[in-house]
Amino acid sequence: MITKMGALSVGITAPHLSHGDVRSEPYKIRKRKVETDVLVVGGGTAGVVAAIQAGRAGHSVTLLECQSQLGGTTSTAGVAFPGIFFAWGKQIISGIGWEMVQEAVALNGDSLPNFSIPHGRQHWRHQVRLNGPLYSIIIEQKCIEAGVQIRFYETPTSMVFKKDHWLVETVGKGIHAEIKCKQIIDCSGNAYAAAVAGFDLLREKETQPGTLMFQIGGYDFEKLDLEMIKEEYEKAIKNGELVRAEMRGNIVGLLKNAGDNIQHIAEADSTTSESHTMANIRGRESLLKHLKFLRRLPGCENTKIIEMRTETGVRETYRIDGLYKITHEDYVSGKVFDDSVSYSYYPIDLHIIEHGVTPKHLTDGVVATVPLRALIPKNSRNFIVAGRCLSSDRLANSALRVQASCMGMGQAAAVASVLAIQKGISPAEVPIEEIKSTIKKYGGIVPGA
Amino acid sequence: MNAFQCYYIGIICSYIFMYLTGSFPIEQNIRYVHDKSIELPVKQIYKEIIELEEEYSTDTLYLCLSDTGIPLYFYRDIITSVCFDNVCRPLDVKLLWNPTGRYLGFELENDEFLSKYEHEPFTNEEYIKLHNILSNPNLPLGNVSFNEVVKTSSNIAQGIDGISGATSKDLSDYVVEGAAYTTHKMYKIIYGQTQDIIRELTHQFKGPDFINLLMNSENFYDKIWTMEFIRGQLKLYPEVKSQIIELISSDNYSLSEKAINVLIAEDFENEELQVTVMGNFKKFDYGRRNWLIQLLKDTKTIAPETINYLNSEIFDMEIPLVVEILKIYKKNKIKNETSLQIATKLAESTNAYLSGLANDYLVFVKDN
Repeated sequence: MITKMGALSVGITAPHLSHGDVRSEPYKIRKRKVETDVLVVGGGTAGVVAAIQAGRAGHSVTLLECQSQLGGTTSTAGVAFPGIFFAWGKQIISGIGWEMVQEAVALNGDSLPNFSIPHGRQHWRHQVRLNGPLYSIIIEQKCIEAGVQIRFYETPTSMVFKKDHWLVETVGKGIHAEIKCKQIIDCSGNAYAAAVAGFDLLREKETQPGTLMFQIGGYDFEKLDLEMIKEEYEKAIKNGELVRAEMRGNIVGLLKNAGDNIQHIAEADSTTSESHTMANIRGRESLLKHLKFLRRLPGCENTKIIEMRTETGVRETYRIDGLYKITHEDYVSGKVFDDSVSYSYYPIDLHIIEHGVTPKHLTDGVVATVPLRALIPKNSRNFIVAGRCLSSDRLANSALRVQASCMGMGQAAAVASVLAIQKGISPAEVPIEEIKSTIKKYGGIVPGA
Repeated sequence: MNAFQCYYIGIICSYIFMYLTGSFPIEQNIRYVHDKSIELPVKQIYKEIIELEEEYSTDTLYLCLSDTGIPLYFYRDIITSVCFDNVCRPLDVKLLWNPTGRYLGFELENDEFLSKYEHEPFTNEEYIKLHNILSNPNLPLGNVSFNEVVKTSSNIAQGIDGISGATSKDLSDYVVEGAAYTTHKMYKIIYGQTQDIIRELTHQFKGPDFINLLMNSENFYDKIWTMEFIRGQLKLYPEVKSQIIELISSDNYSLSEKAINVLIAEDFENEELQVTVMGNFKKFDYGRRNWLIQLLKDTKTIAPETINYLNSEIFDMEIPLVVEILKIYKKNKIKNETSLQIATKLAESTNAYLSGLANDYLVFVKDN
């Protein structure tokens, strides 16, 4: 008893330090002041290209990425098959994006698809399968090599334009930074920086669903009784156990593709931590429900999750209200504008929660283009966007949003930003011919050139 | 006896051999076969028992070889059943593949024929349609299982043709009407596991004569496949070197890309090859130039002609390539006067990234 009391007494009065421990003051949020020429918000498909381009043009670049790795959709969301770089037998997207893909393919010992043979209705045959983790490392190294200062886990909270520069506040893990920059390139995919900066945005009443990429296994598809499975699936939908739209009403497709890019999560939105949290939870919950359902079926008893991405990928949220809005008609007619700075080639690919997706292919020879004005928010200065949040109507955006197109935009946006810095003007004021010739000087492809 | 006579004697011998082995295409046989990559007489036939995940766990794959052991084609005798209204008849079809895995065709021997719903035999047009379908490796048929081809509610594992349900709407363009299951079954065998096994077996025949013959094939796919096959191993196939160099400059992107990717840095140590390939540098797009510059970057020796060429073109090149060239110069300790003059000029660039790398090279040369 005495011994016990003694021990207790020591516990109350003495510090709980084990051998080797050092008492530390409570952690304080650290303040940082950063000065940079170009601030790129978002290290996804477009942002990485934009940051490398700005760095290679000799400017200081800071890249904010709210996640832990670069690559966005390609790496974190797991859509590691970017496309489309070739249209009708001709390359339409090159430059930094293509260079990154080339290197990832070579280092993984992979081969490129045969671009000489038209893809017909199977456009995915011209998408390039990448090793996502490898790609993520390669692009990170390319950023570092170009002098880009990467800041992971950080996101802007305010942006104020003062005469000829921006003052941006960001928060990250244990960090509160004040960044002074000359130009901002919003590659957040959600027009997040544009929103923080106060520019008007566009959003559809119903946005396209998101997808949590995963892989399942543990069954032999060839031996499954698909009709029985379909009947059971219908019953599960009817009794409320499953939601039809979540696997596009295609339980056979889920099993045949062993997961992959099939799930549809309604209103998945990665704009804020709250909305993205919800999208992630719903994506995983849906997978779990389907897994439990499958494991009850003959032939599927051993179904298991082989792999799952860390977050639900998002197709559509906000777009900027730009100096020009690319329309569906512009896209499907392959309109070339005086200020077209990059190509885009993909079927109109609108994922609709009730109806799945039916890609509408462009007619032979048609390749759409991206005018610089679609990257610049109305009433903005020293601000440009690249990626899926460009100014476009919903149908055009469903094709413009894909990775190769975003890479092309990323390079063009950075060229415009950097030339604007050099001239002390805004991107919209840079002579378009100078932008075009500079894109080519850095390996990019310009429409009509 | 001259070569011409030898050739014809060879053909006669091979016909006798084929007759004896039962592979002689007798007149009444139905036969739809594409040109092979290598049209030489068959002198030997090897049997390979293969493990399959299809309805038969094992089967025999036949490999036909020339007198010098060059693979000419593979075939399998597919014996399965096709049933209509629970009445079944055996299907005996010979499927042929090129050594590259490309589908060649099918043969029906001994009065065998293909039939559709209600036992109606295929017409000539339907045989041609079937052959065309089977010749296209990119059809959606390859991605569906047979239980998806027809909308069946039962008997799905018993080899049933169209009778038990309508052909799935999405696939109707890709099957012979009334013979969906037959079409699909043949397609899946052609582009399934057997194709992979054939390609694997072909890897055992990497002799220079074989590769040379494949590279001389008129078939685009065979050329592409062969270049991927010999990737990184050009030194083993000196006979095709000039052809690879020629294909690098092809107007067809894929031929050019595959030819470039045959090369590894070690190949670029052959000065003649390096200089010839780099001589066409200007006509390539950025991506292909980048591949060649990466080869140079990893090559131990840069030919003086290459350096002269790079020096003469550097100011017209894309900035990322200029940067890579400066790194190459530094790595290879190039102290050529023109190169140094160029670097000095680049060091004055307003592009701090470029000027920094040029300075880096100049300082390195000065210190070494």
